[in-house]
Amino acid sequence: MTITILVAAYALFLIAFLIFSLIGSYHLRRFGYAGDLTKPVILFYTVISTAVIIVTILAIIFESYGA
Amino acid sequence: MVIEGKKYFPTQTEDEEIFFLIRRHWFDYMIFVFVAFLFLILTIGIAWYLIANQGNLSQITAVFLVIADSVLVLLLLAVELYGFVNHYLDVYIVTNQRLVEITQNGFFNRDISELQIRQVQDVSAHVDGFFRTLLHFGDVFIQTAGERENFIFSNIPHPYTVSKQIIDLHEMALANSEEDGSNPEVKKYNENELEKGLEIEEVEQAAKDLINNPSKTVRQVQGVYIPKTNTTAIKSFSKTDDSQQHELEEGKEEKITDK
Repeated sequence: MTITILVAAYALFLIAFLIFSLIGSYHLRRFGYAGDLTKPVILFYTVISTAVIIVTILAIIFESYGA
Repeated sequence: MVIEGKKYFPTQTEDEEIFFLIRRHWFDYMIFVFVAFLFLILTIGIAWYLIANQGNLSQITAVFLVIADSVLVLLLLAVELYGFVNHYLDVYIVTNQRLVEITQNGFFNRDISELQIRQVQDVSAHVDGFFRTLLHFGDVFIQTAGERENFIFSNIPHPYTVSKQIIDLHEMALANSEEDGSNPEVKKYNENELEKGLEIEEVEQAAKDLINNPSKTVRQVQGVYIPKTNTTAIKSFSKTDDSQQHELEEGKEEKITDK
């Protein structure tokens, strides 16, 4: 039950994080210029964020059911 | 310069040439790097504790620590993204026609200010402090004509070079506008002088001479348009007292140092 609450809270955080990330990436994409650092930063940010979220979900599954 | 139909700022014209696109110095972003460093220490500590106590922790504690670590890393990324947007989208653009200052404050506040390069009155660069001197960055202050707010290019790299280039562009713009007769201030002045009864050739020649060589003598300044570039000349002339004026009328010339 407590784990469910933790996971639900994490899911809410992820939704807020996703909205924030979309707004930030939109600004970089909208106001960046050709050849500058905006696109590499968007790519880096997306890759790292996705990796962290996937690893976290796997770790939660492992800690909950795998151990 | 327009790349793939995308303009650098909304009012950019197609024949406008961009000389500089300046962003603030990377040192300005250091506060966010420091914050990232603190976050990283914390997340590495939690991860280390989690791995070191594998099997000894209760299920709920382990899940809590995993989620806490993940939240910290994601928050770190979000803070860095916010800092990067604030830092990197602040842009100063110098074209052959104007100066443009684009300031991004957070996600929902973006200001764009423009200044015609002919309206520049004075440009000065300031580098102060240990890191600024060491890393060659500082501020460029651009005084404008009239009651307009002054422009400040903050924390830009190589401020002395930039200020000199702005002055050069300003002089070039003045010379060009004089050649094609499009300088509105010169036009207005000439019209006023004509109303006073001066010969048009005389006024035109005097204005041309002065703008081509704006700081030769005080005597040349009398009765003709004073370009606002040379504030030294204007100040010196306005401070001339009666005795100096008398000498000047007799033909004695006073040199004015060109800025």
